[in-house]
Amino acid sequence: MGIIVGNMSHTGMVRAVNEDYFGYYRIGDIDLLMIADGMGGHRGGKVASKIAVDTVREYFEAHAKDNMPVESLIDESLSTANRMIRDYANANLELYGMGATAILLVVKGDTAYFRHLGDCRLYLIRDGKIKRLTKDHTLVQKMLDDGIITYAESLMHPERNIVNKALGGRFYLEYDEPVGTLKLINQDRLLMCSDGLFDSMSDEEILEIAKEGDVQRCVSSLIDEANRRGGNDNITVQLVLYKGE
Amino acid sequence: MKCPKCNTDNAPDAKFCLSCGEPLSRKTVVVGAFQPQQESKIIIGKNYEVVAKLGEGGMGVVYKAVHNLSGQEVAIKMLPPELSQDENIRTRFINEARLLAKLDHPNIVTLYNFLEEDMKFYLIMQFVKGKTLEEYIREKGKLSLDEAIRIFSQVCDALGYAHQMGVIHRDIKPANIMITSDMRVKVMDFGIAKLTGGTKLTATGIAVGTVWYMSPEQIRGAELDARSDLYSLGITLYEALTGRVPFNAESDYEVRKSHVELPPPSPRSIDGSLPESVEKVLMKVLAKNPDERYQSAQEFKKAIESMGSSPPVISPDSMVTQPPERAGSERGSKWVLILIAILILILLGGGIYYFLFYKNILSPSVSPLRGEEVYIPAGEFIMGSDKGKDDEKPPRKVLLSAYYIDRYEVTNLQYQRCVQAKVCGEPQKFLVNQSPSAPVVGVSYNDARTYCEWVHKRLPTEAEWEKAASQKNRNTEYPWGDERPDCTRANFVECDLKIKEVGSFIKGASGYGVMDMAGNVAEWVADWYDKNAYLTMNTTNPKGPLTGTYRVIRGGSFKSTALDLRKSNRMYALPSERLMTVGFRCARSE
Repeated sequence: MGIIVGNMSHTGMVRAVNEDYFGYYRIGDIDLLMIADGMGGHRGGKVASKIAVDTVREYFEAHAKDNMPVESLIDESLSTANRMIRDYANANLELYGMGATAILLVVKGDTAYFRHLGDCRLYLIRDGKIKRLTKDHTLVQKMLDDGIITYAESLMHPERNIVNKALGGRFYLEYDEPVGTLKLINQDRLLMCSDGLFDSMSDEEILEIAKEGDVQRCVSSLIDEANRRGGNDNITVQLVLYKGE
Repeated sequence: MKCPKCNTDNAPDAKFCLSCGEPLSRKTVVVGAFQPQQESKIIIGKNYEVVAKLGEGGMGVVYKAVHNLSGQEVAIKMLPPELSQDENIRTRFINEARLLAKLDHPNIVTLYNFLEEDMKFYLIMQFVKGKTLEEYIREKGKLSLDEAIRIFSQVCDALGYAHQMGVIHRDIKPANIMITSDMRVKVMDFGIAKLTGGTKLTATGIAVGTVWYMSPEQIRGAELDARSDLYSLGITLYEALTGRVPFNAESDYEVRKSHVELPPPSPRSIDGSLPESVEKVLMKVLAKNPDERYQSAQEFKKAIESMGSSPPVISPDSMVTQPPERAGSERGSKWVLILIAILILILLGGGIYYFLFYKNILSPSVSPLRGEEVYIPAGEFIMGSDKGKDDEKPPRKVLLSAYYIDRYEVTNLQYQRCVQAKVCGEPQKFLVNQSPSAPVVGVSYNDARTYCEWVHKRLPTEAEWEKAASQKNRNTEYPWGDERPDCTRANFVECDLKIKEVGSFIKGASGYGVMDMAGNVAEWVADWYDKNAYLTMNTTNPKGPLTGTYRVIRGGSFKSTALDLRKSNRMYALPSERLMTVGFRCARSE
């Protein structure tokens, strides 16, 4: 029983810097995976995404053995990261306004726990089908939910760049939904990514590349394909293969 | 080099501060027979010497500069530097700027040139003396019909010309319409919105008010044509004539939703003296469907000019002429309308903010939100000052037992919990920052006390408050020390007159790490006010006079002067008063 992970991050073909940051850590009996997509001009985005991932890892290292429920570890570690980014930005004026969207995934035994903020996503690939497990915290998604815009309008909307939730932005990190959980079954694949991937590829196209084969090779192919389509943004992908009993 | 204004470290060759946009001067020393006085010049594009900073907004910083050969005055807009890192945005910038530089019309601020230097984009524009329509409306409250016709028909001329040239403005709003002293109109920032889109933002990072003028199709992300500009101009005209925008709410999202879904409130319901023709024109230009609006700027201009020709319908209300002195009562009725609009929006539901509250109402019991506390150890400190007003005298050593005090003021979010629990009363609503993380205001002393009791705490005594606002073992004027307040340490009258979220001024923390003790919002404390209180006060755990008329308020607010931010400054009000500038925080004994 356990997981096999493939991962990679790429600057893309247009941006000058990679503001994404990711990590995969084994802490006790927990597998911790995270992607953060930094934002906020100058050097800010790069700094924010790194603080986010580092803080969450440190929090897990310090508290994973405290018998805290995984859900609390996730929420508390993200709240801590939120404060760290905010305080760091406040103390360094040139970083003012920096933040990061994020997806955090924890695998413990046969259960996956996850929480996202903003437009980083988690997909489940099972039985040859792909399913989105997260719903973007974006203005466009909310307008879609409220029927203000159509699905077609949402795909090309010029304000796709506006996120409603992120680390480092607000004083309180407010969660609208509980930590997601999922019982894993043998051969499940979990794909987490920054928006650089899905902005240029549909869910079905992602499935086609990620559904089988070596996970690291799948990840490379996904990033190559996104770059072939313009690579307008930084692209980060982590693909997890679950090996059950 | 260090920025003289905000102390940010910048690259040695930086022309402008990375953080606040302040011009950074460098001294040029010329060796030779005629050594001039120390020169400090900032030159953009070889020939433009920066002489002043004119302003800044979401679209960048604007400087005034002079051409060093011709002496021509220009305005130079520096676009946000992060844009230049994106190859797509650079290409788009160059293509768009070429198009914009072709616009040549008496009612359009001319774009002379554009250039890229040190990875930054500059737009070199005509310098126009005057004020923006935004400032003009703010000064006058609203415009007369004649004035509005004169201004808006010129804007229509500018738009009609640009549209013919294939340029959509995309960001028509009062701040982009300049009015010169002889009432000539100059529209600026054509197409700039298109130049600068594209980088990821949080919804909260967008300037308030940018959505007030957006067209429904713009909100939906559709292709824009000339009629989108006409809608935005229609909103601007609505605001100019009634003194308010048709769609306002506490969140940008609600405003967006209203543009798409709600009809604008009838202008005559706001001001009964407006002629019916005005209502007809505004309702038509604000149609949701572009096909139902005026189809061109020329057509809209004709309609605007015809508004003046029909005689105003005399309604009973309009018989009463209201001199400007009565603006207060007029504003009162505006308030009622705004409050009604807000209430309707709340009922419609939707915003995350209200949804959150709504969910809470449904949950069977509402518990308080824990806020951070700071531990203040037992010990002496100097209370009062002999530099301030008489009621702060004499300064004396006061001994306090240990206690806890909230690090921040109680926020809207925290206070609303108490309202939902049906323990606290609704605060008085003011048009101030209603963000969940902003401090609650519009609460009376009695409200504040009720809240603190609900969370099993109490209001701090005046002495406890002042100690928490001090430096450890050092008597200073302000929580952070003796330096005069500035907008990086505290939010006061010299800043932008808006309430900020709690904890926004790390540099303004007291020696104990307690935040926001100076400025932003003032705070109720437990004591009764007596100007002679310090003469007779107990010096161990003083609790103030036994009775009185007023309760003490501490800390100064976003409307206070620098002097009123001193930690020993005392203010007061009736315990039942709900003020726009006053909130509170709680404390508890160890």
